[in-house]
Amino acid sequence: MSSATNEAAPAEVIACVLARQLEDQEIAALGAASQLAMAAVKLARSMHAPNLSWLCGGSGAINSQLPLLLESAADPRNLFGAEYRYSMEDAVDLQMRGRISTAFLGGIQVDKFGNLNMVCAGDYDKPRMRGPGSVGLPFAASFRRTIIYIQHHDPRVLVEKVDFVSGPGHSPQRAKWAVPSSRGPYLIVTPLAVFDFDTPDKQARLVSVHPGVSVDEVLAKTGFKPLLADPVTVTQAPSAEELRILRSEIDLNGVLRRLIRH
Amino acid sequence: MERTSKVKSLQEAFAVVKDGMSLSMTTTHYNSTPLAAVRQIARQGVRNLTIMPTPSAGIAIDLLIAAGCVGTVFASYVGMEFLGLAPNFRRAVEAKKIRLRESDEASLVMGYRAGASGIPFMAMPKYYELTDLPRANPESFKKITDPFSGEPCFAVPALQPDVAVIHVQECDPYGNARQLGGNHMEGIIAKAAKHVIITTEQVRPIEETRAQPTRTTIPGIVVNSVVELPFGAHPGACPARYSYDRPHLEKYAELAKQGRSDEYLKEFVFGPADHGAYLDMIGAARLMALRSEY
Repeated sequence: MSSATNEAAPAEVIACVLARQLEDQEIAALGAASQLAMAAVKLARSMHAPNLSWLCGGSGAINSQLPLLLESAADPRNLFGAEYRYSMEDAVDLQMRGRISTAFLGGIQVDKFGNLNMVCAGDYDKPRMRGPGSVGLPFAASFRRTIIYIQHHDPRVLVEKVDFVSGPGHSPQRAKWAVPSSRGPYLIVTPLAVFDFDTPDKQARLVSVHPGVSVDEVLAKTGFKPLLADPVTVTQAPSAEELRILRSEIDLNGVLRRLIRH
Repeated sequence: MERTSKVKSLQEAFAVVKDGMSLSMTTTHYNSTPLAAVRQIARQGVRNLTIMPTPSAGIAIDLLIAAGCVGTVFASYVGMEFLGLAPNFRRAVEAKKIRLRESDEASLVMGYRAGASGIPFMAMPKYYELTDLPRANPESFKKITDPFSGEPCFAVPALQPDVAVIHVQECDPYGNARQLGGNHMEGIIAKAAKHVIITTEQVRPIEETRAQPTRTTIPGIVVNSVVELPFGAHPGACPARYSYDRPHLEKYAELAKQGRSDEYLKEFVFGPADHGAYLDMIGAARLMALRSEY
């Protein structure tokens, strides 16, 4: 537990990192159980991106104004203050054609090229663990960029190579097959660190560790060997203003303060 | 001559569901899942169903698998959302007790679109080449050549389930249904299916439909029967009527995780003789506390 009430919780740090990536005029999208991404789009709209629009998963809400982070993005209460209720077929049209500029995605496995897996751990025909399925992850080939975030920084999640490609990451053949405007994975944000793909072959590179986290801890808990930025910096902590908006306008129930515990 | 009402009892309406059929039921996570209908199908002891779900499904499929009703699943997302994995689905896949048609959101939505229009298949973007879906499910994802551009693309098959079950808030006796809250792809599934059963919180008079026809979201002309089932989505939510019953969902998930779904089925599915008896078990106080206008 943090002693000072002002100290940011790990999930609040992640929400701020995600929010700072979003630009004005973007269209963002997020999926099921996405309280972190939901907080980020709401924070970005409040701080610096008033023209950012966003799709709230299965609820169908575009630009929800709900001042709470519900456990389900599909909860119809997300329609509070929204501007449109999209249908499932709207969602596919908007995503498949490449209109979404930033999508927040995750998976049961993420590899060093940003490939995402929601299908299985182990061989597909003899899985050690069966996951829920690919859902919207193939749109990683149509979203203009993908920001990957995970709630557990674990070597079983951050792996050398995914066991099943649900959402395609960077690869030599990507340009030939993906929607031309789709640039692929942009960042991986975890409870410990931030990785980008700004390397010659677009493999993950550790760029910052969150306040209080060491590079060694990140490397020990990462299942692939990331390249290292020179230098690896410390993630910018949430500002007083970011925390005020998060706690008083977005997350009145304090979900983020309980979501991830170190 | 009098117009014929499509209102039937739960048992009457679901007598059409037989072994080996393909079944679709609507839902997005816990919203408007026709769970009273699913319990009825389980009670009927139907076997070897092919489940053609919506892109984000979970408890309905997991429960039918636990009850031994399922042969094949078109799997886009079969999970319990904020309650984690769908335990019976997970075990059945790992033990190869069910067959999978590995799918995703777009292939199901576009497959239903093709089915609704009577188009043989849908052409999909070439980017599926970058995923493992065509290798995992060559039956559904076939690489073809776009006859106009000469570029590669993928074909996915039209989906036309034998029976679709759709839960709504209001429906008239002739099957004109109103969805309040979410509107996902129910109308398309209703057009794609060969036989459509609407389960509804309330049967409302046709006069209300006629007064506001633009509020009808599923036209009665594609609907075969209407079943009135108050709290018919319990323990899931029905937007604008009631929220989800989280403790009950947690109980389901916990028993399923422990491999004790037979206890759940015995108590809540095979125990109560009908939907009324099920609601009595849950209790009026609990149900009333779940009511919500959102």
